[in-house]
Amino acid sequence: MGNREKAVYLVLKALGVGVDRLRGFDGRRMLQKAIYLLQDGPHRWDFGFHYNLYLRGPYSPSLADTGYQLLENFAAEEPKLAALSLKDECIWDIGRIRAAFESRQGELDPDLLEVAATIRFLCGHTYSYLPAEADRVEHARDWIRKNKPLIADHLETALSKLKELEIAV
Amino acid sequence: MSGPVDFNDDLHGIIHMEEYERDLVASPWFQRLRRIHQLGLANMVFPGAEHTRFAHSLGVFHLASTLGPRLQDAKCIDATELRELRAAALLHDIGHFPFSHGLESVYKAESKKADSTQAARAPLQSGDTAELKEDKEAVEPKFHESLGKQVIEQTTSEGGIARILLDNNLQPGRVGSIVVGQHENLLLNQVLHSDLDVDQLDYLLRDAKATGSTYGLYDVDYLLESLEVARVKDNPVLCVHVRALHTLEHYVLARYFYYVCILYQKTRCVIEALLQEIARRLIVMGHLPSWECIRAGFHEPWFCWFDDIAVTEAIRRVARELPLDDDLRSAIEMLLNRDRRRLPKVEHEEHRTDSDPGEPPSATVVGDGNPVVRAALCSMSTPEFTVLERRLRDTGTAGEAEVLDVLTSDPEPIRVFRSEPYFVPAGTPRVPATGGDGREGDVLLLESLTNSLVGLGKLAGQKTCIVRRYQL
Repeated sequence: MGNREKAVYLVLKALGVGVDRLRGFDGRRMLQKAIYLLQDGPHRWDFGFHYNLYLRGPYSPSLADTGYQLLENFAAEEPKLAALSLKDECIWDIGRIRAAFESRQGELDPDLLEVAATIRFLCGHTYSYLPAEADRVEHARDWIRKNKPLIADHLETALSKLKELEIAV
Repeated sequence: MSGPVDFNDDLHGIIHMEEYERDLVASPWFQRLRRIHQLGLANMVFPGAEHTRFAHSLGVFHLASTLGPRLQDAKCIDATELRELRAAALLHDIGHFPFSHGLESVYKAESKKADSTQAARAPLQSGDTAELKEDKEAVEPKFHESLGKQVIEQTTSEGGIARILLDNNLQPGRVGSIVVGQHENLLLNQVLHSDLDVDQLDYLLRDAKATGSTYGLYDVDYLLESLEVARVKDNPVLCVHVRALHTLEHYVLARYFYYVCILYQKTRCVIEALLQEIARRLIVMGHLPSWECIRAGFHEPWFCWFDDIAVTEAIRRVARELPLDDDLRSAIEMLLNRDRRRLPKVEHEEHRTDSDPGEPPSATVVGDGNPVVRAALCSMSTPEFTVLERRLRDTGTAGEAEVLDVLTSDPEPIRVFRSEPYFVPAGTPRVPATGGDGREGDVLLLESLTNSLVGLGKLAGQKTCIVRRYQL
């Protein structure tokens, strides 16, 4: 198991998400968006995954592959994982993300995470040519309402969570 | 002058342009591409490989202009987005470095050193950060695309790209976002940034023709004609009609041949490595611009003369006027004199795939010889490529599977490339879709088709690694 899989495991552990959740779509979605917010957030933690804009927001095919490899290798390699750990500051950032996006049931809300990550990508990349933040945010709102109508009602909450986490838009 | 103006391309024939697009071509930033070889120093191996990024850019523009109106007719893009697509296709390589990818990796490494103060932070307590980055190179947007986006957005002086776009009611930021595959309309990203995009459709053919690799020649017109837009769960996806299945397979094979016969040709790799090592040293010596200079000055006139000729002349001037150590002088002469007989030879070569047991050996160098040449060879990474990315992940359990890359269907055309994931019920490889004109159809993976060479040969998702040992 390479360091990338180990790093992904440690992130899942800090998020309170079991590795077996990666078998399901929501589990993979949570991982994708959480790592994106860690990489593109104020502290720019570099897990080495490149993201681009897909229908479900920022997505990394390389991270998806790593997730599947982790699923395959986890059972055999679990004892070796204790040797590595994330930096305290990184764990703290992950904890903030967990707290911000936790639902009342105590689990991460994948829809809210998806909307927040998408807003951040759109404002930071697709609409980065717009100098005013208000314009970038408005364009991002329009894009999400058009392309994610079923979860667009998370828009304002997602914006406030990004502000809470000091993630620029 | 008024009305559309034509170019005559040896591959695609007459290419029509609007007046403002001709102004973009006339811009010094675009004219620079006339002096950048498409295949770098491959002309040392393939004498016919003299074609330039200029011709290739016109070709990509032509293909995008052919496809664009069909997307508009399918109501997937509007008139402004069509103009943005045409401009992006024309300008997609405007950020290329001299000798194309030859110097790109040198400046990319320089940029990482220069940006180290703002570099992203390693998340692990211990361990080598580099290991976390090992796959990033494969999927990160190309460095020249990022620079090209800046050229498009920030050259606001007279004759500058941004200025021309703004004067013609186009937003440079939106054009630049297509170049890096981040436009808000995902279909536009697919057209210029996917496993079957107009960029590859042109250069695979152009490079094959120029190098004499006739097995790389496929029917681009038929393939382009067979691209359609279908809607899967209301999402527009670019697809290939099943009637063009074998043309599509030919394209996939052409890409395989392109990698092994042209891009990773053994002598071409050595020559490029030598150029990179010499360029690295000249940057340190101040005879080639540093990354900081380029980053600060790409919008200034001098950048328009930063081309193959400038780099060659810088190398010549250094050899002619400066006292150099014998090894560097000898390496420069080897490169400038194009003497293939003096170049290191391949002593051993093997092609390995994912299914081969054990770790692939890294490229090695044996024998005593010029340390500059040795350093060049040692800095070469083992060429690796995947002909077609395999992106279907069927969980096999209840729930949704992610389908990221779907090719062809029966009876309707469906192909979605890696920029367009959507979701289908697990265990259902065939997904009902609606064709662009309302026809019903199915979605299938190319690799799952039993009558597909890609499916039978398991060509999708297989990484090939070329390992070589050189004798100095």
